[in-house]
This record gives sequence, structure tokens and C-alpha cells, in this order.
Amino acid sequence: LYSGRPMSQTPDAAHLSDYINRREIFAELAAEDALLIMARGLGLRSIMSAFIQIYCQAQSLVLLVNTSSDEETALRDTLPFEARQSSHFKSITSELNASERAEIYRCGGVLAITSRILLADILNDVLPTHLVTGLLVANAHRITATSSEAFVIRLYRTRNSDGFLKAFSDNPEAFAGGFSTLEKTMKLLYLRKVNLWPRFHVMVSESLEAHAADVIEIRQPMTKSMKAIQAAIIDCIDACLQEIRRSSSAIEIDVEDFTVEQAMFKSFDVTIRRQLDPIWHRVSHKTKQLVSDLGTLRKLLAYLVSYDCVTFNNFLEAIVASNAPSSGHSFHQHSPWLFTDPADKIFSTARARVFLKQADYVDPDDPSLPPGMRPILEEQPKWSVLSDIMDEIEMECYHEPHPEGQDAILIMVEDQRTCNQLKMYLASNKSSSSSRGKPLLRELLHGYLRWKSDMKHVRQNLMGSKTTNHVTAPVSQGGQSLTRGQPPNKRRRVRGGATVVASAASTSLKPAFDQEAEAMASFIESHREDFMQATGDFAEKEDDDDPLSPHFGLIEPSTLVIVRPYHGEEDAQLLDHIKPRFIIMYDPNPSFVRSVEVYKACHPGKQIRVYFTVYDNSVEEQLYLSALRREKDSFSKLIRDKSIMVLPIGDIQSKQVRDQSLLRNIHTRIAGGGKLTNEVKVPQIVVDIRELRSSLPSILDAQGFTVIPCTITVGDYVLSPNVCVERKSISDLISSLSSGRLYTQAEAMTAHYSQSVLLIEFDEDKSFALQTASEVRPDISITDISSKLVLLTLAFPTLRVIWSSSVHATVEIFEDLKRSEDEPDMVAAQAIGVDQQQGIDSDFNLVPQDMLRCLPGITSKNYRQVMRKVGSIGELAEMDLEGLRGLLVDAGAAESLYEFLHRDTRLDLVKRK
Amino acid sequence: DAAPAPPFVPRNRSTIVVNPSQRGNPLLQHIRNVPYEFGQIEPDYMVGLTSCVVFLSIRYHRLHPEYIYSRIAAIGKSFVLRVLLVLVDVDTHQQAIRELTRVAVTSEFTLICCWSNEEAARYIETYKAYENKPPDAIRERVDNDYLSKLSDCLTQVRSVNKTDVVTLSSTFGSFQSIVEASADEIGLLPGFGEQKVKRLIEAFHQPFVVDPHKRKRRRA
Repeated sequence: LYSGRPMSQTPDAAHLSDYINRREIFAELAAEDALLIMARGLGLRSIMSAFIQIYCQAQSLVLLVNTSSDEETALRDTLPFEARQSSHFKSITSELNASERAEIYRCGGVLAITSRILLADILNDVLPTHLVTGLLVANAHRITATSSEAFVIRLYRTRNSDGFLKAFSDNPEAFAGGFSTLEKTMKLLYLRKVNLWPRFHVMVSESLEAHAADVIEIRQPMTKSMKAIQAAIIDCIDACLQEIRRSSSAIEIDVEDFTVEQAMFKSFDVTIRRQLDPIWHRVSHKTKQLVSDLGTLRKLLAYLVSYDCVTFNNFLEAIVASNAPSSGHSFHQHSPWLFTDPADKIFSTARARVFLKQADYVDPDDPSLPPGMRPILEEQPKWSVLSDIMDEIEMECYHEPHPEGQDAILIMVEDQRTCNQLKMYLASNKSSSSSRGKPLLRELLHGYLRWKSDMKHVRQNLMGSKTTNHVTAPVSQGGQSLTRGQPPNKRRRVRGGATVVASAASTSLKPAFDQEAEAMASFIESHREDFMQATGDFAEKEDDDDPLSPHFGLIEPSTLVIVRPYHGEEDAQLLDHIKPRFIIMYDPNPSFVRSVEVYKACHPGKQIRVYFTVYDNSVEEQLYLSALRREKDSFSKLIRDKSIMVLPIGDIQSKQVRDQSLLRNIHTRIAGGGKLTNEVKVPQIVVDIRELRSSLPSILDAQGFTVIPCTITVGDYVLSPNVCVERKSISDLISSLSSGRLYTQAEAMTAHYSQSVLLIEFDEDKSFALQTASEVRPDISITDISSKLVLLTLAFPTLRVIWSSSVHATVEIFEDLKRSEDEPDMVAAQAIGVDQQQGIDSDFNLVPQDMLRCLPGITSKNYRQVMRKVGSIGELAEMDLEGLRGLLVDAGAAESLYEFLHRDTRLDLVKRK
Repeated sequence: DAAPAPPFVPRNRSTIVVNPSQRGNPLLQHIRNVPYEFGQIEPDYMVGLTSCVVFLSIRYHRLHPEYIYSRIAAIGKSFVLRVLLVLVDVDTHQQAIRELTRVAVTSEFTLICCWSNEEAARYIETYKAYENKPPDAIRERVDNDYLSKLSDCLTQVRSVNKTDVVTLSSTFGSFQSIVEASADEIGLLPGFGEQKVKRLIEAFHQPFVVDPHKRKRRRA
């Protein structure tokens, strides 16, 4: 068994010797428990992996919490070979059952574990918490008072006061926002010390700037049309913001500092959403739509520089298509920005980058294009910059070969898509007639045309043919009457060219889209073979020689080009592996700049040249600069906060809370202040394991209840053999009322318990009200939440309802409900609602389960059966009609499911029938 | 004490019967969608043959804490659905709500909280209007058009939105083809970043049942 103590009290940091600062940072953290906040790119992960390496042994039991599975894999990769091979760094997932987990705990080592499982194991005493050597908390910025990690830490600290606790974060912005966020997080972590390592820390900057790399910054202006689109998008964002400001006067959000600059940040729409979430049920449809539009527009800004012109236009058209009026949706709302002038500008300019309408134009290079379409195919300006840089490097390598005989060129890009595209771009040869990008764009154009031609039927099938017919009434239904090359709408032909969308009044935006799709469809149908061949040819050509992925071959060429997307902390390893001589930062990324600096500091002798390309005066540039500024400001604020922070005093507080609440519980029952004796039973509550994600179990525990987590099918909390509670936050309540899930849950609860309770829990920080007077509409409508509640209570008159203004109020009410009731029985609670065939222990993956339940023919009665018999959504989709009949029993259900799975929206279903 | 009063029979079955003691209650002026009449009944409002409402404002409850107990005792179990409609008209409501919750649970009343007279009137109206309405609106939906079903299903995956659903459907055609598409194919589509692709693929191919031992046994 592990001794419960680390092997050595002062772990050595030999493996960090490459870089002096990291040793410093490590030693500081090893000496005393603390929260470590580092600037991105300085190597937080290597510090974490150093800790893992030290405790990767049977003598210790260290738990690593709050990491994603990707992060675990990445951490594993940073470990040296022996440590990676050893069985002492393990991930614990829900696939292991309790006894297997107990065995792993017995063996010791470093265990990466999800908080939900850890909570269950601590509470059920599967894990000997008092023997744990220490706790490593990753992503400390995500810990909030209500997160399950905070609960884990509290349980750990109350049961084990000797073990260490180190927390890590590389997100200073998260701690700087809000009111004393750092202080609150420190309290949750039971830590008294915070170690701050910004980039501007004297030691860091000295050591990094001593060996600065050779950097060439290239500022490429955007094309005229890109600038126009960017300006138009910003106009749209501004319009959306103004609209939100106007419509949200009644709602309690802080809309004053909504500015366009703010709106460009990655998390802006998320921030608004978070502010609105607790009152989401009171937010108007219009505001909801506007918030999601802001997200779309922000995406557009990013895609403008990262997508090529064809894909960008394609994305725009998909947005238009999904906003088409449709008969089937009563809830459907149109995005208002689509009907503004700047939006017209965006659509028309984006299209003009791809092709122009020109009557009787036939493309000389590519006869398979529909006539009247003149391809423009504007290349991304950075492509040619990249091409020039590559030429320059080639020259340099030729004249001045690297002494070690290896000249790796590393091109770093934002995402996998850009990565693939650049690979293709670089693979195509430069010819005198056309630049490198043309063949690539032509292929994309063909893909787009194919998509567009399918769109005709897709729109009919998806949006309902009724609407399409209605909108395009004069055009006829199937497109048979269309002769190719002759757009049916005269007005459009007259105006022609790039102004198609811009000139169209907003209402005719959709018909134009429709008609064009039909025109293309009929052309491509008539030329199907030529067309396929043309695209096929290109695909073959492209497969021939791919000189870009040979770096794992046996013989390494003297110059190799590697294109990679940014991956945060993993980039440091990438640099170590590749040891590039040239680095091209195709997209700006602050964290990677640091990684290069650190790499350079570790290898001072190496010759590195960095090319840094950025669009001049673009949002891209602005984002890069403000990200740097925000990080710096955050650290400055944290340094100030650190100096004035009120330090929490260890674990004593929580013990006091526990004792007090126990005493309070007891003296109400024992007159004359009877003494606390061991005979008094601690009240118990059985909690569904899924509920461990919410904050209620944590507060129940703090208030002196014994929380027993297990998988229960009916209800969320079982207070006694008679009392069962289903807990709903407001947003849950609304969604589960309309999805019908609550009805099913109420049905099950009332069938199995004599007192079934629906707990409606409001957010503590928000007002305690479901509707305000001004929101009550003059007439009774079934869409109102109150109407649905009425229906629910009418259907289940024995269902009790609890209205709780906060989690704390819930705990008090639970105390009341439990009074004079017997303690719940875990085994009995688990068995309720479970049919015989199904084991109690088995757990279902939630997303596939939810998807399954949305499918037609699947009901609350049969979905469990389906999940037992079929492995996954993928397996279900492959089944034939016979199989489905056998599975669902009900033939009608099987047929509708089969029809749903196999209906091809690209085919003309109307015609076929 | 006295013998129970004879049950009041309303003239019209579609009216709400209001206890005369409610005369002057400001919520009455907001009952506009359903007619009401006064009649000698035990509860405050009779909103159906088998359901009744007792109204209580928390402000009143604080002044007369014993009132609600006597009302509840008088009604006993004489209706199938007994609603305790509580108007939250004070700021420090937690203690009162806690007490009323306890009362409601022990005497088998359904507690409904509201925050304005308008809302209170709306609940009373709705109980009457929906007296015989089947609960279809809150049941699992059975029938719907193709796109909403497809959207409902695919948007279960986080960050997938309606535009993405249209893109997926128009590119791959059927649901089956979407499920069978490879990560690379999906990754090429506009609007699909690595995270989104990963989540989608995971949702399609992750087994329903978590426990691997069970899966093996089932297949065997």
C-alpha cells in the first residue's frame, strides 16, 4: 500500500533543466500549496507533467481532477517513456465499475478522474480519502462555488488535512473579471497562496529576451471586397447590438458596455447568454434570436479571413437557406440582420468574389461550368504571401544550407481546415498562366455547384414544398420548364451581375436563391457526366504527389514542410520534435509566440527565423493585439488583488458549518439542549449520480446530510421510502415541459412513490419570479409556462410542487420534508422503475440517448429496449426495415423510423410520388 | 359544528365559482377570459368539478398566520386537485414559502406561486379553461415535420445549430448518410470546426450503454 507520503519532500526538477524559469516556478509550487496562474504558452503543462512524473509510483495516490480526456492524453505524451509505460498514471472513466476502481485506488499512482465519479467514490467510501497523497486541480479558472470540483475539494479537505493541493490555470482573464473572483476561487480551493507568472515577470522576460528569435512581420492588406465585407459585418453587429439594447430595457442585463469591439471577442455572445440564462424564460424570442445572430456574425468575421471565397459564400448561403420561411415551424424566427442593407452588401460582395453573372459568357478553361457564370475566384491574399515566403526560404536554403543538414519549415495555422487547404495550395504547382490557388478554388467551385444543384430538392424537402411553391409560384414546380441558361426571372436577368442579391428587395432574397438553385440543378442534371468527370479529374490529379507528409518516412528530405494547426500547450512539444529552422505563423496566435520564445530560450544556439503574417487593419489583427492587452491587464489586476486579498483560513470553516448544522438539527428535537451523542443518526438522502453536477448535493453535504450517490431511474433525490423529488431549474423546467420529458418523469414518480415532488429551483442571484406582471399576456396561450404547469398539475393532482428561491432554501425545505419520515433505502431506490432485464449498474451516454429519443417511432416506452439491443446511433442507422420491425414491435413506428433514417433530401420526393 | 352546507351548483358549467369572501380581491378584475359568478362554496375559487383554488397573499399570511390552516382544514380532501395559490408580494418570502410548502405537502395541496395579481388571475382562468383539456401539449410530441425532427435530433449535440443541420442535410442527403460520413468529410463543410465534428462523430458512434462488460455479454 502507498505510504500516503510523497517519496521525497523536495522533488527534484531535473527534467525541467532545459529552461531556468520553469525550474523556479516548479520549486515555488512544490514548496507550498498554491494556485499557479501562468501566462499562456510559458509551459503550464510541463509543470503539471513534472508533478505527475514525481508521483507516478505505487507509494503515493495523487488525484488529477478537472481535465478533459484530450488534456490527459496530451499530459501522457509529455511524460518520458518510462513514466508513460508505467501503470501508475491512469484515467478513470465511468467504464470501470466500483470494485475495479477500488482496486486501482489500492495500487496508487496518479489518477486522472472525472469529478462526478470521484464524488461518488468519496461519498460511498470506495476511495480511502484520508490516505490520498494530494490533489492536482487543472483549469482552476473553471471552478465556481457550485461546480462539482469545489465539492470534491471540500470533501477532500474535510477528510484529509495532510495531503497537498496544487491548482493550475493559464487563464488570468477569468480571475480578473468580476468582483474578487480570485479571492472566491482561493476560498473554494482552500488555498492561501497564489503564484503569478505573467510574461512580464522580470525573470521571465529577462531569460526569454536574452535569446530573441529573428522575426519578420508581414502586414498584408485585405482585398477591397474583403474590406467591404468586414465593414458590412461590423455594421450588422452594431445593428444587432442596438436592437438588443432597445428591446432589453426590461430585462436585467448589463447592456451598457455592449460595444462592437467587445462583440468581436470570442466569448461575447457566450457572456450575454450567461447573463441572460437565469431569466432566459423571460427573454423575448426576438432577443434570443439576436443573441444567436451575434454569434453567427462573429463567426462570419473569423471565417472571412480563414475561409476561402467559395466556402465563405457557401456558408452564407447555408445561413440564408436555414432562415427560409417554412410552414412547419411555429417557433421559427427570422434573423433580422438578414434583411438589412449591410447584409445585402455581404451577400453580394461575397458572391462577387466567387463568380459574376455575365450573359452568354462561356469559360474557356472549364466548359463544364454553367454558361453565364464567369468565375472570379478571388484568392486569399495571404496565400500569395505564403507562396512568396516559401520561395524566399527556398532560395535561402539553396544558398546557405543548414549546417546540420535539415531545414524544417513549420507553418502554423488556426485550424485543421486551413491546414488541409494550405497543404493543397502548396501542393499545386505554380504555372505561368495561373497562380497556385486557382485549381484549388476551381475544385471548390465545382463542389459548391453540386451542393447548390441539390439544394433545389433539399429546400423542398426540408422546408416543405408548400412554401416553396408559394414563393416561387410563377417558376413552376419541378423545374422542368426551365431551359438552361435562361433564368426565369426577368428582372434578375436585366440587372444581372453582382447586384443580384443586393438589388433584390429583402423579400425576394429567397426566390432568387431558389431560382438559381433550380437553374443550376437543371444544368448539372443535363451535363451530369461531363461535370462528374471534370471534378473527378481534379481529384485524381491532386492525389498523385503529396510531398507534404513525408516527415515520418525513413529518409528525411533536407527540406520538409509541415503545416499544423495551433494546439495550445502541445505546440511546445511540436517545436521540440521538429526543431524547425523557419516558422511561418500564418495566423496570429499570442500563445504560440510564447512557445517559440521558450523554445528559443531552451535552445539558444539554434538559428530560427519566424515569419508572422497578419491582415493589416483587420479584425484578426485587432483581436491579436487586444488578447495580448487583456492578458497583461488581467495580470496587473491579479497582482493588485493578491496584495489586498483576505486570506481564507484553511479547512476549519467547513467543519464548523457541519457541526453547527448538526447541532441545530438536534436541539430542535431534544428539549433542554440535549447533548450531541453518537446515537443521533445523520439524515440521509439518496441522490441520482447525474445530479452530482449540480450544486445541491454539495450544499446538502455541507448542511450535515449524508449524501448517497447512486444511479436511480425515477426522480433525482429520494428523501424517504415515500418521498421522491424531481429537481428542475427554470430552463430545465421549460425545456422538459415542452419536450414531454417532465410528463413522463411525473408519470413514473407518481406511480412509484406516495409523495412525488416537483422542485422548481430558481437561481439565487436572480429575482424569484416566473413571470412579471408586464409579461402576462392578455389571453390564455398554450405556449405560456403557466398554462403548461396548469396542465401538469391537472394531470397529476398528487404531484406536490416546491418553489424554492435558492439552493439554500431547497435544503431547508428538504429538512422539513424529511422530518418524521424514515431514512431512504438506497437499494430500494435503485430498484424502482428498473425493469428486470436491465442491470442496475449500467449507465447510458447522455447525448446519444437524447438523440435517440428525438427520433420518430422512439417513445419513452421503447427507448431503453432499443439502447439495450442496438449499440449506437450509427448501428441503428444501418439497420434495414426488417430489423427495425423486430426491434420496435410496432410496425408503424418501425416504418416511420426507417423513412426518417433513409429519406434523401436531395432527391425530388415530390416528383417521385 | 354545523352540518355541511349543500354543494353549490353553478348555473353554467363553464363559469368559475367565486367565494363571496373574495369580493374586493384585486385579482378579480384581471379574470377576463373566463366568466365567473359568486356562490357559496368552501374554497375561494371552484375552477372545475373536481378542482379548487385557495388564494393567499403572503402579506396577509404574515398578519394572520392561523387563517390558512383553518381554510385548509375546512376543505379537507373534498376535491381531487386542491391548489394553494400563493401571491408572493413581499421581499423576504423564504420563511413564509418554507412554511406554506410544509403545509401544502402535509395537507396534500398543490402549491402554485405567482408574483402579481395578473398572474394569479391567469392561473385561475387557465385552470378553468383547461379543465377538460388533455395534457397533449406537455406530452412527448408524436408528429412533426421532417426538418424539425432532424433539427431536434442533431441539435442535441452541443454547438450544432440550425444552419449546420441544413448544411449537413443538403450535403449528405439522408440521416443515415450523415451518420456514416467520416470526420474528414464533415470537417470540410463550412461552419464545422474540429470540436463540432468531434462531438458529432462521438454522438453517432459512442455506444448507448456505458458499461463495457454489459455490452460484451449482450452481444455474446
